[in-house]
Amino acid sequence: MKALNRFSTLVIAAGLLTACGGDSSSSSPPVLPPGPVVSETLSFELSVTNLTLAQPLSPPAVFLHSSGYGAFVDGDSASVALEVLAEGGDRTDLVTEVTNSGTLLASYDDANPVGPMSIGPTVTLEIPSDEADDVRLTAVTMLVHTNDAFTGLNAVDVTGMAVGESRVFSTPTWDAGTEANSENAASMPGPDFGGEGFNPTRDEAIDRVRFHQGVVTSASLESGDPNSALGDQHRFDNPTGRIRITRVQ
Amino acid sequence: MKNKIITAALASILLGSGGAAMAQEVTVRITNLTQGMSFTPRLLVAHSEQIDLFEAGTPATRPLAWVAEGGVIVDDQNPASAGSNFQYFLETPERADENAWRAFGLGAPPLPPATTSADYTFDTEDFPYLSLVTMLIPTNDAFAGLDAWRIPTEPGTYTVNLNAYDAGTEANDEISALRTDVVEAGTGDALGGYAVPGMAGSGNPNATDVGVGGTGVGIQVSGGTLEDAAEGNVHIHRNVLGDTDPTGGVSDLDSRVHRWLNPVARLTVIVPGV
Repeated sequence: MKALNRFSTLVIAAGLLTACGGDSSSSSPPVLPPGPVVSETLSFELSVTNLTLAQPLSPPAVFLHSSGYGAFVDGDSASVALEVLAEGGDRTDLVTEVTNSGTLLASYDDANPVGPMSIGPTVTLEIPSDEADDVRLTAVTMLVHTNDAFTGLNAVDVTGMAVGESRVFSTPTWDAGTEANSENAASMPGPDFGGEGFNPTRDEAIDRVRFHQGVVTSASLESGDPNSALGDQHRFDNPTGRIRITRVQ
Repeated sequence: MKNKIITAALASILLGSGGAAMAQEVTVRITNLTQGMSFTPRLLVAHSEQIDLFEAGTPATRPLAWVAEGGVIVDDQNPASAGSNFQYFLETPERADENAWRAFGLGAPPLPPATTSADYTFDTEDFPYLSLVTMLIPTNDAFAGLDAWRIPTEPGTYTVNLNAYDAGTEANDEISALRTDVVEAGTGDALGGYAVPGMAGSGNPNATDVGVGGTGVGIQVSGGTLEDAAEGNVHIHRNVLGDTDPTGGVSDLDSRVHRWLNPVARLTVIVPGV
């Protein structure tokens, strides 16, 4: 499907080029009226806000890309690349995956986690202007003090933003479905636990991506799990993240 | 209030001389979507980009803490707030020309759970953004917030969902302010309200099933006292914990009554036709 879409785009582009060529050969170059200089690149500023009390967000995998790439599909089994991020907070494989897909336009390259209750750095992303007619935004980042929870955006269409325009997305929380939500300290990474990150074993009963049901924790003596290493402070409600994108050029 | 009158006078002068300043009256109502939380008076602000009532991921301002910990917007609600509440913040000379504000529900009972307010008529004075804050009671420092929503210019009826935030200025002890067996550590002050632990609004007329005897959630009672601790920055509220023990347990809230999930409120804004 992806290959087909790319191919038909190329065919259409080739047709337009042919028509243009024929046109310009039979007339003198048009005199353009004075106007604003057309930029060769589109420039965006992007930041990630962590809306939780005590869940660090792993270094975010954030991409501007053309359509055809998806980091995950709701209700489908997670890719290993997503599993690596959702269980261990490591975005490396997702970066490789989107790069290999041939759709990547620009990547957010801040290697630091976004701490709880904080706004991460504003990063500039630039894409060629000839790609401006098809721009998608994907973001994936792990809620570190969980087994396999993540928040983000799944190939949201941000085509056609005007210079100066901002969009703010409140992001929900997914469960990758790749690791049982044991809430054991040994199974959760991050500063509070330092437990295991990625493990290729898929031990969750339903190996499909869906929204997260929230953490049980040991905070409640009645409805909690005394064996959970998570406490009251680790609980969260949606949205857990906020992504702001502004077109600056 | 004096500033508001001056602003209104200026606006009519400009209109009379064919100036561009315009009044834009919108109709606003708010629905409380929770099962067990009531809303304190609602602060509605139409404003320019120069004004921000709150920003998730950054520390709460003192005016926001007054709303989130005590539901206080104006001096009349609590004279101790004079000089540090939103009335002061929004009317200081450098900000007065950047916003138009109203506090709805002052002097009236809080907006009960699962209830829609009366219609408010609100003059946005053509400012582009709308923000709203209102405290959820009984809680320590939870508020429902709308952060700089762009007011549509097309006539129509618009709805926007509001999430519950935690101001981050007071630990969520979930201890009732009606308790007399617990006081603030150090000062011995009674619980509840701005800059003291305990949940303001524990005795509000809609508050049902608020218990006693809880030992504390985000911070624990120690020797009959509670520290005035804080979490840090504004963030999405993790929800109250509660329990089912009205005379003990960890929380004085009832987990069957007081918990919520976002969104907690819906704002309806009617932009009239010309």
